Amino acid sequence: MAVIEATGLGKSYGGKAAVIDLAFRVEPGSVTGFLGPNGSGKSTTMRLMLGLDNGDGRTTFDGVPFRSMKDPMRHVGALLEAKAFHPTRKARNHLRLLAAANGIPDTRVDEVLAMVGLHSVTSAKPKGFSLGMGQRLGIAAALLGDPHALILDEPANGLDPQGITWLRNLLKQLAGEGRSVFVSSHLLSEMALLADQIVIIGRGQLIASGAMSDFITSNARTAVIVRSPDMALLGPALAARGADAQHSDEGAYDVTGIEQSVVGDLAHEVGARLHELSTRRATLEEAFLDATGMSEEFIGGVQQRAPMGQGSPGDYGQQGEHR
Amino acid sequence: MTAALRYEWRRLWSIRSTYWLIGITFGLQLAGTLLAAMGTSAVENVFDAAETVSQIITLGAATGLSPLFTAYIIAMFGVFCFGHEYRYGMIRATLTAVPDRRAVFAAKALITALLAAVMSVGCSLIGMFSSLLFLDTRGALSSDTVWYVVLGAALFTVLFGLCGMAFAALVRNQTGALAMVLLVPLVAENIIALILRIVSQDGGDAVELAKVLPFDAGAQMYASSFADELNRFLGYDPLGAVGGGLVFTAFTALLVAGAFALFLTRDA
Repeated sequence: MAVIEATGLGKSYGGKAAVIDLAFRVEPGSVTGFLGPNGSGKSTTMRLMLGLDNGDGRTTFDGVPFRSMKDPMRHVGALLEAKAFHPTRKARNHLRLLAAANGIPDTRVDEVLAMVGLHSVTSAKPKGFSLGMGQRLGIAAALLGDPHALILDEPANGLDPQGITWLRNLLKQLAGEGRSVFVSSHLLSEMALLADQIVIIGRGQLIASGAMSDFITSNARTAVIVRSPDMALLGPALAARGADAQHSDEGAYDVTGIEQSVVGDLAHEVGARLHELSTRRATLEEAFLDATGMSEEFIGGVQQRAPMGQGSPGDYGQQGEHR
Repeated sequence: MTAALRYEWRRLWSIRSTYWLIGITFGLQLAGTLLAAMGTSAVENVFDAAETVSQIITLGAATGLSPLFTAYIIAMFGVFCFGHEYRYGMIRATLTAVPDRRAVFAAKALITALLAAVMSVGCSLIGMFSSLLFLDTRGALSSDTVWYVVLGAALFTVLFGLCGMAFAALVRNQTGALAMVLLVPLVAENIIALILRIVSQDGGDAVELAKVLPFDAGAQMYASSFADELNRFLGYDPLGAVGGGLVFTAFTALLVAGAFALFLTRDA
């Protein structure tokens, strides 16, 4: 088990701040998703955590900084970029090289190659590997030392749908074994299925961290959908309870600030008929876009593109989810 | 440190370029020295034999008229030890396997130096073997002259290999480092020496500065008396094996120290 604790992380490039006083904690037994728009500083943060970039702050793994560790791959497994290998060094030799530095037996190399589905190409030169195979080799390297903590930067990049499902199950299993898994991804729908905890950054600063479910529930787009021919009766009753009812495009009302069950009770009390009563929960995408202030940028982009007949909100998973 | 050495040792022997560089170096040295020995007339005495063997094992570099050919190939090991890290994005994988940058750098320097020394001595032995096949040079093998050349060539090659490593670590570009390994000693130094000679034509002593040009000075470590005479003809007294060696060592040390300092402080 390894608690990952980052405090005061900071990094500037040519006077421009890329990461600003970032602090968060990754607990064992969970998958923590690391989210942020492109260029928000996710990869820089991960490099800072591992001491690969020079900057401010400190990251410890059970109290020990990465650069102070003996046999670090036995404690922390990292995947920072796809295809970080010599093109003619065989896959098995690439891992043996890393294993040699960390006192890991060569037998473990074949184990992890089998684990990531590369057992048939152990003697192949990676220059012919696809991006997905390169990612699998990188994941194998991260798992080589059977580490307590994993730091993975966009590990799903290049994986096919089956590969993404495999990766999700693997990371959940590893977290279930008590490891700390810290993983960045721009695939929000995938992250919604994978992560229990989230750390969200924007422009290098922390925007939110905590449980995924709390983050989504607290988003303003979570609302009770009410469709009733008797809104003249129900509306004032909702207002009296402090709820806010807004007329939506579909002829229903989006009611916020009140639970679905309370709306049902109120309708019964005032004698209002209900044709629909449901809760629409925000998606991770909606919550993320709101939190990072990207919703308006997104809408602006669509409006600009629309006359050219390219793209639609649906392409980006913007539709609310009715449950 | 042992972790970094284990890593570097496996890195070296798990890529094809190591094997083809060794094959090319020894193969060309064998072919070159065999041809040189075949083309040499019979030696008359031990002193003549020692001079002849010195020229054969260095493929004429001991005369000062040509560069030490094998050192240029062997220096590629130095270039590749950092060049591959940056060319293929391996540096981050390396530093997550061995986060101690001092140890990583030291291991690369140690293994580059060791390999360069072994290969240089191997090349000299190949040259001796070729000499013995065609010439009566057995007496030369007990001559200090020959062994000083062997030692000098090995030291020069080690320092040259470390320069190659330092160039690659400084520019973080394999192609750029390879170009520097060739262009600095073969082109830049010769242009500077030529300029110094032109400047000194009217009686100035600026040409004396040519003897501290580092690669040229380093070549004094394996130079024969013929090279001394050539340098005097060109206008300056050479520093000699010790002086030249010290100049080249100081240059290499500065280069390696600069590369080391930047390696510690730069982002990976």
